[in-house]
Amino acid sequence: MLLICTALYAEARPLIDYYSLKKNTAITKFQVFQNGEIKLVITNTGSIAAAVAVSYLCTLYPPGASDFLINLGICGSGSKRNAVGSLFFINKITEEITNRSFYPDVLFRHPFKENNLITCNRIIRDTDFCMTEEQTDFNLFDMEASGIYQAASYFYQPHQVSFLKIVSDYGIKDNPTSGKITGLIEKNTKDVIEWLHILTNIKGGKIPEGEIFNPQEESYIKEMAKQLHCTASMEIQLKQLLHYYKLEHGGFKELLDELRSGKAMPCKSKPEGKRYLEQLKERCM
Amino acid sequence: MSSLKKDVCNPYFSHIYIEKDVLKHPVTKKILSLFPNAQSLVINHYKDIFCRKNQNFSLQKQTPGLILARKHDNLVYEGAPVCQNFGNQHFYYTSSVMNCIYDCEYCYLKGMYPSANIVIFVNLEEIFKEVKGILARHPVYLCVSYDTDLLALEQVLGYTKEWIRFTAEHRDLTIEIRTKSANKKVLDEVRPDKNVVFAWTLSPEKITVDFEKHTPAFEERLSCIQAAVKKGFQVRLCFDPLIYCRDWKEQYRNMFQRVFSCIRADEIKDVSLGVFRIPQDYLKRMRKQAPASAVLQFPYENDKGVYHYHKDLTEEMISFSYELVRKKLPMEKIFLWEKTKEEK
Ligand code: SF4
Repeated sequence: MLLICTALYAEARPLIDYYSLKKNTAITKFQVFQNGEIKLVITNTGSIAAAVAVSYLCTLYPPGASDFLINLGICGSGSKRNAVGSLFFINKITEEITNRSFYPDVLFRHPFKENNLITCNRIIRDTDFCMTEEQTDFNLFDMEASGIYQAASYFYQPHQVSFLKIVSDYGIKDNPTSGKITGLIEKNTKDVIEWLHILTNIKGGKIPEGEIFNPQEESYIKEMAKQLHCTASMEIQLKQLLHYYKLEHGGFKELLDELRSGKAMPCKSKPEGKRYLEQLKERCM
Repeated sequence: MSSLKKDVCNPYFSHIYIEKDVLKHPVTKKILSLFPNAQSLVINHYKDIFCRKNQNFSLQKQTPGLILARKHDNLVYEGAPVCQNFGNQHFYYTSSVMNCIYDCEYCYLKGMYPSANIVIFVNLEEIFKEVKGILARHPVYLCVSYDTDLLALEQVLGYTKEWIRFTAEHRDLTIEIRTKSANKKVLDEVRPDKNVVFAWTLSPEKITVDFEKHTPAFEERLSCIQAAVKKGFQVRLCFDPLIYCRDWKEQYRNMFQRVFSCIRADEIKDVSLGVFRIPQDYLKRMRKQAPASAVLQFPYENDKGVYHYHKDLTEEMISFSYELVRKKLPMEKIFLWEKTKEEK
């Protein structure tokens, strides 16, 4: 699943159009648009609103190991070296009020320039920043990223969360119009979508927990544990033995059937079950 | 976790995180000059990166970042009981680097650290100062390549050479450089010293290929060891950890034969033998990260919080290996993992 967060509808519109996302009218707290594996939430401005929206969506749709969250939106720039309309991939987010910094893991390749960002809890006016050509730290500022990162970190690993920010101003004089915002996003939509396509096709290759055994094997093990009068720790041992055996031999049913043949099942007692487990251990080596 | 395609992941050290405090340190400057295309980010403390919650160790391992930091306290530790002390009374170790560029499937670092990013403590001079303090009290045997493989990082760091230089100036200090690398270049650049022990870990080729990703092949390591003994370096051979596989006897027999066909007993300082063992908490974490790893999913026995092969197998692996090594080496040159000795 890909969860896209934008603060404003104007930021989301190009992606809603491209992915033909439909509004989910069952969700009323936030505007959510979706199509299959892609969900987009309009968080509204401010880091608290954004954190609540992320938590809400992640609770409704708990993310898995191969899922990603993207925050796409406009930002201000403290330096005029960053041209209006240029897109940055954020590698460091600093929360202005706490001065804490957060670092999404940038493990996958991307075609964008990287930059750091400061999340403020107020609109930054053009008079708030001294915009020198030399200023290099905290080039960019927004109002949501730190909230999104902190909320997302309860649900995602640091490499699953990415922030794409497009420079819209150097401190706001007049609030930008929806049209201007959408225009800035549209200018970058092609690159963003191409990258999202690559990102969502990355398969971590991780075998999700619990999938070592198929459902048939799971119930077979349960049945065995019952027949052997396994305690909880014996059942863990049994599972570990069969896990290893399966990795080495591809399956274990034949082994169990062979060991079971000629023996009266279920075992009469726990000690007998233990002896059986010992035999099994020897066979697994 | 299976490997991702190379073109998906960023290259090694694409991101370098630098503590504010060490921005101007010469080692920082040197490392940054080696990676001109890396993104460098200023951080307050290495733990801001290294200790983030819920990191994906296996993925990070495929594209580790570098963290340059200053080590503040506990610069030198006393050796833990699970460490082999080779009969040295004042046994210490120091970690000037955390994590390793190699990727051994069974490596305990995967269970010990929350992150696969590599932390380099640039203030080696302060570690030296602490060692000098201890040397003022008594002689020191110091493992300088713990929790990493220092020699494997030599081209970037140069710490091995620094340690050898420091040891030459302090004759009560003996250092051990544990490695799986095949870095012959260093051997040309430093002089053999009786107080500097290069300790090579060797595993049969099959184990190396199956479980020791990115490490030099068995023959490359062996050739490096041969070069070291020819030049007169102190060499320890570590057959530790011994790793079980179905045909382990054949694998290890062939390996010992090959090793001792190239290296004479009198050319090496000693040998250490020990089976794979790991604290329970580490193994629990590692098993979660690698559900498809046979070496980690092996049904080990838990003995007071440490997992290892069950008693019979441990004894069999140790005595089998011991007998083969014993044919070539006198008893006093063979060190067994302490626990195993107790069990015997
Ligand atoms: S060489 Fe040693 S430290 Fe490095 S990955 Fe292998 S076991 Fe771990």
